[in-house]
Amino acid sequence: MKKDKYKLTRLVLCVLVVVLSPLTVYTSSDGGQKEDRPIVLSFEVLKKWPYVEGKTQIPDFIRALDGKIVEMTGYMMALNTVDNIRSFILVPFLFGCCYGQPPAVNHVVLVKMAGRKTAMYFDDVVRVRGRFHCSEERYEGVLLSLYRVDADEVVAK
Amino acid sequence: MNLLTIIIKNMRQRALATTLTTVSVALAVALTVAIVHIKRGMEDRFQQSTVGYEMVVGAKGSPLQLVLNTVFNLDISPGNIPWSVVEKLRTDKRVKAAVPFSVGDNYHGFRIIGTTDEFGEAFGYRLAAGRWFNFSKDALRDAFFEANERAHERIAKEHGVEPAGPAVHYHAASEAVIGATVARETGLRMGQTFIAAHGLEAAPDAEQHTDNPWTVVGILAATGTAADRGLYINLDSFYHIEGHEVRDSTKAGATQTGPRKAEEKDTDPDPGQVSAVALKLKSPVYALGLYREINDGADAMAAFPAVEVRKLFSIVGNIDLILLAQAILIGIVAGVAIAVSIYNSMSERRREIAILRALGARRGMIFAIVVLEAMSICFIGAVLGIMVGHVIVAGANTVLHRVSGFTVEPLSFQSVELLIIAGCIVLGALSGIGPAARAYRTEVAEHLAPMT
Repeated sequence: MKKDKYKLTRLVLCVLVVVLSPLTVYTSSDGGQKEDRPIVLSFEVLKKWPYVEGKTQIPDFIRALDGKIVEMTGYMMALNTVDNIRSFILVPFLFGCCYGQPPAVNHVVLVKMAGRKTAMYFDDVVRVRGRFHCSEERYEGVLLSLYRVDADEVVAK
Repeated sequence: MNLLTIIIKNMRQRALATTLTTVSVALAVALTVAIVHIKRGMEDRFQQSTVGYEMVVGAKGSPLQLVLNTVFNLDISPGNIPWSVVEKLRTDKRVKAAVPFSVGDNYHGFRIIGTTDEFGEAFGYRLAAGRWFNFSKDALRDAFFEANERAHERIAKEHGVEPAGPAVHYHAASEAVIGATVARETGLRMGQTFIAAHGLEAAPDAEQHTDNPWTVVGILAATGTAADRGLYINLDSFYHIEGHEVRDSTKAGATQTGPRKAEEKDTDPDPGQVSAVALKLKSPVYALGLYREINDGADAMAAFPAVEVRKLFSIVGNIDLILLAQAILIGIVAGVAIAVSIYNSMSERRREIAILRALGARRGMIFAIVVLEAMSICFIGAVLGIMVGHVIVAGANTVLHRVSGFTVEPLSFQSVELLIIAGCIVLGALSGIGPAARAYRTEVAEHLAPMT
């Protein structure tokens, strides 16, 4: 009788393991590759200087970050995609307040997802990690951006 | 007798209970499939249509209404903006393209949209046949002038004054490029003409603009976006339509009764109005600055289609979650019903189980038969539910078409449906464990005794 009970328990467990095992696929993690420790870069630093197109140069304390892995927080704003976002702008705030100045060119970071990666959209503050670049990127004479990040990771903060 | 035959026999023996529990599972699955299909269909259409429209500018009011009207050909226009706003945006160094739109008429319920020939290139719409209509700024100025003259004539008559002379009439070619769905559903072909009806929705007694027929000169390749459901006409021809006056009658000088000089059309700083302008920017870094500049002004309002669509999804998403939670609850109730019905049938089946055991079936085999029976009921229910779900989607298309202008392909199969089937099989297995344990414990000797 005790043996039967043991066998029944084993059978029930077998059924549970077989039917519930697919769920474990979603909880597995590859652990991720360890990279250089990122530099935490805030908008306060990026905004520390007044940019006047054609008159001011990107200061040395920002140029020193060019090519470094950085971690930034801010709000994402993708203009023409709703999901599976390939590029977006990272801004210190969105348009909740109608007063004050809108973000200037040196208050905005153009984020492009590295390789074939895409990002989900988040309403709240996001953390972006990737390689930072700074220079006056132009196309047909028009300034396109000052700050760019090739992002490996975009997650909700 | 193999395992499958035994399971089928058991299910037949309890035909009523099997049918009812299968139907319960099918209902839960059908509801889930219908919700998933309609939600995804709507999201796909909204997401695809949003691509390319980085910012829209229109009359002050609701940004969602402006986006729905300009990008998705839904809802009504919140009003008009002066042509000077369009000109200002077209010369702004941050703007790559500023494409104006004017709406107000329909053909068989499909919107007629006055725009320029930049529309296709700016938003990546390709032609499946024909060419784009001809558009020139001079023709648009002429059209604005003519429409203003008509307004003056009307106002003069309202004031009891006979107009001093005939209004200047220009004759521009009225050409149209139609969307793929319009071509398919209305049967319009290249070279054929059509007449607009007043208003944005089809109405049997709507005024017909019989004086202004358009000739189809191009058909757009199917895109899966709102463009499939539009008829795009050269913007100047929009203002040749009677009633499309562009001068605000409350403005100073609007009551001037005499005909204006033709030269005035080239010097008028504010010759007309449009419903909205769609923008593409040279860089997204300018988006917030331009947005604030436009919204701080008195003439117009800017809105980001992607932002408005996300807001819409967040509202609709909550309703979907409630419906999905209901469907999951129905599924759980169906699972409990399966467990109860099989469990209750165990009393009648104990003798049968004992005979099977006497014939050499192991306890594990008996356990497996009961679990597989519950899984089979759920599997059949799931397959049936998926079929019913697709029928519901086909039926819902009529309502969707009327409410949102979109339809969902009822025969498309989504990978999530495989997950639903798998989920139902898991549900069946879990429902079968209780009755299977009872069957497992059935004593052979006790139930093989002769029945009295």
